[in-house]
Amino acid sequence: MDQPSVDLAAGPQPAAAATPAPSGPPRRVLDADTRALLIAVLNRLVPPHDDLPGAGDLGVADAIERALAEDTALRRTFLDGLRAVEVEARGFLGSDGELQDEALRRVEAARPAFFAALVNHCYRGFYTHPRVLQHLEATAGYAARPPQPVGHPLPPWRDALLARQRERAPFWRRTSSAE
Amino acid sequence: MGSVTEMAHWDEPDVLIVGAGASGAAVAWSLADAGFKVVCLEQGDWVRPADQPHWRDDWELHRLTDFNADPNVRKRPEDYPVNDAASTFTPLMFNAVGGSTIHWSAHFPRYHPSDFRVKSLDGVGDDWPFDYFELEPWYDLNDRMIGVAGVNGDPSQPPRSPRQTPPLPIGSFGERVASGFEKLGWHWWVSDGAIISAPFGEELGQAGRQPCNYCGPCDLGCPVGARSSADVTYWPMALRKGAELRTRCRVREITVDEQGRARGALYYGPDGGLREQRAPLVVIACNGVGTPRLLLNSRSRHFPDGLANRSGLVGKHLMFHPFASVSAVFDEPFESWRGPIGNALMCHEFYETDLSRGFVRGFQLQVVRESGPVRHAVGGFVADPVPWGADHHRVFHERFGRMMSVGVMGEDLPETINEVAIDPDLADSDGIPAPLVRYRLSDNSKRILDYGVARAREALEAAGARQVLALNPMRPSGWHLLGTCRMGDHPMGSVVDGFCRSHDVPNLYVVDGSVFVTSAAVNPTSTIQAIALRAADHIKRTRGR
Repeated sequence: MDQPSVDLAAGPQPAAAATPAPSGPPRRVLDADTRALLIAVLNRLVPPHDDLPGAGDLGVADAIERALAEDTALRRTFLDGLRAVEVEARGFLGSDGELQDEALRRVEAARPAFFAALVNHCYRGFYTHPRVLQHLEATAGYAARPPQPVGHPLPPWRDALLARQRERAPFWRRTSSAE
Repeated sequence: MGSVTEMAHWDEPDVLIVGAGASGAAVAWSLADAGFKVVCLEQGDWVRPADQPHWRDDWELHRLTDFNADPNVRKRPEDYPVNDAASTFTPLMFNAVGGSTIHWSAHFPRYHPSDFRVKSLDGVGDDWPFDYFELEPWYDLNDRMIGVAGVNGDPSQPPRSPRQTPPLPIGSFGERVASGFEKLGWHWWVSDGAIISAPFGEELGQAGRQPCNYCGPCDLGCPVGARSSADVTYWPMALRKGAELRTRCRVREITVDEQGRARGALYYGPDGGLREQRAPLVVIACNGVGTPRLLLNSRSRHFPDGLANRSGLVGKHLMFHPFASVSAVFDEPFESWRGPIGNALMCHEFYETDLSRGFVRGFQLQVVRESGPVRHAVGGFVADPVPWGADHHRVFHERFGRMMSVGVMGEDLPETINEVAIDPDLADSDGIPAPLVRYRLSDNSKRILDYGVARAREALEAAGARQVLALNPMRPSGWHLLGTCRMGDHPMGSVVDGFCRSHDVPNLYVVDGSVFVTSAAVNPTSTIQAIALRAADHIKRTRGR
């Protein structure tokens, strides 16, 4: 069979490789009430901080909904779990924050797999959001850009760090008298 | 920059290699360089620089999805499922040109001399058919061909030839962890990394490689070619020497002729059609899970229990490295996301056996950096997510960029109850039966890990950590797949001989980590490649080139 020529170049491939923005509006798999509930839950999981809104108001529900659109098993887990949240809170949206958190803690204990997935996906959406990355750049010095092509600066290796180790006698275990 | 190569095509190759990973690539280059007509079949494809996540805003998410180390999570078309429910550790591998060196952190120590004499020294396991010093020329050859960063003088190791490039910087955060080891009077050394810190490889034909720019996530690939993975080192050199690499070709079984010799491989091509490629010599390089799977799936009249399996040992003696992770939170804003994530420094203070510790054999402490914000939030190296709710932001900012970790990597011992078998129901997308992994942590391994975690904690606290977290054992740590086609001098006690040649099938070699007799307590890739190169030289000698 014919094999194509192979381009073996490593090296920068910047613009072509940037993440394409999701095209078109997000595919809806949650009804309006469930989405509103998810947004409210996300705001409790990652609350507002400094000038950042909570994860729900930031729009993380969109990213989660995209994940649920592609993974039907995950979708079922989330729908069952969010229903449980509503039941535990007897009306999540109408409750105050303390009661909402208590309801979430009960669901966390009763449905650990769902809750772990919920938190995991919340964090994925939050910590890839451009506003959050800009916030981290301002507060923690974390460059709000992908790792390549710039990389990160590091001071060079200093061999003086090993001075004491070099003074130590070899201690690898011998296997015969010849060594 | 870069090179476009017209690839050779061989209808009647001298040798057929199955698997284009660390060992298959090394053998392909060595034999092609000596004039053999080489064909390699690889079920995966090239992972091109543009396809790697490092350029993307959502790069961290790929660690959780299509670049996850677990094929059962990643589920790319070229991945096959692995039943790992009955295993303490999940087998981790990458199916592509370059194999598991695509998601490799490239921590590149050698085995100690004592690792080849475990039975003689400690009365457990077995001795290898050769020792460290017999293997040394091929360790050196491998280093010269692929490029290694580091510095000599480590008292925990024998003297060795110079490294090709200077050590990778460990950063202020690495220095802080090192200070913990220093304070306790323990050994530490800057790790050898199969990552170039200076220009290397151009004159060898490894075009386009750039020195490391400390971007961080080696576990997701290396699009600048700094990491000495097989796809940017051996493969370009092998192709220049006339090797043919057929990607998206998934081997179903190795066929045998009337005399019970290997005849070739049945494989599904990119169009899904089944073909046979014959060759007078067959080399298997599919890792410690994929290789026994292939052999056990290759049943015939001559080999009803699987090809090359008269000993009954194909699939047995599976070894991982018992692994636990320990993470420390410091007060200082280290920005510890900088630099190769798995490559900084290591401690071999507890490497060699000391029975007063309560176990036999020992462990490595491998210092590990951190990564981006998603990884911090979802739990990092110890899988401890930042709490949700009122404490979230406080804890996140306490941790972000302020963490360094230690991997406790223990030596595993070969036991027949730990094995790779064939699952009775599970199959891949071509209907090829999938592997079933059975493994449980031994008492000795548990004691090693408990002791190692305590030592890691001690060192991190001595370095000034204000909080230490641990995960013991760490389940997704099965990067190192070893022992399942062990080598030895006696055909009833081993699958291959000291040169990786099957006892039962004289024209069949196994060159990946399956052949390991014992696991040592360090990352195996340098040893895998050295053994593969030595096997290739044996092939050249015995086949007249």
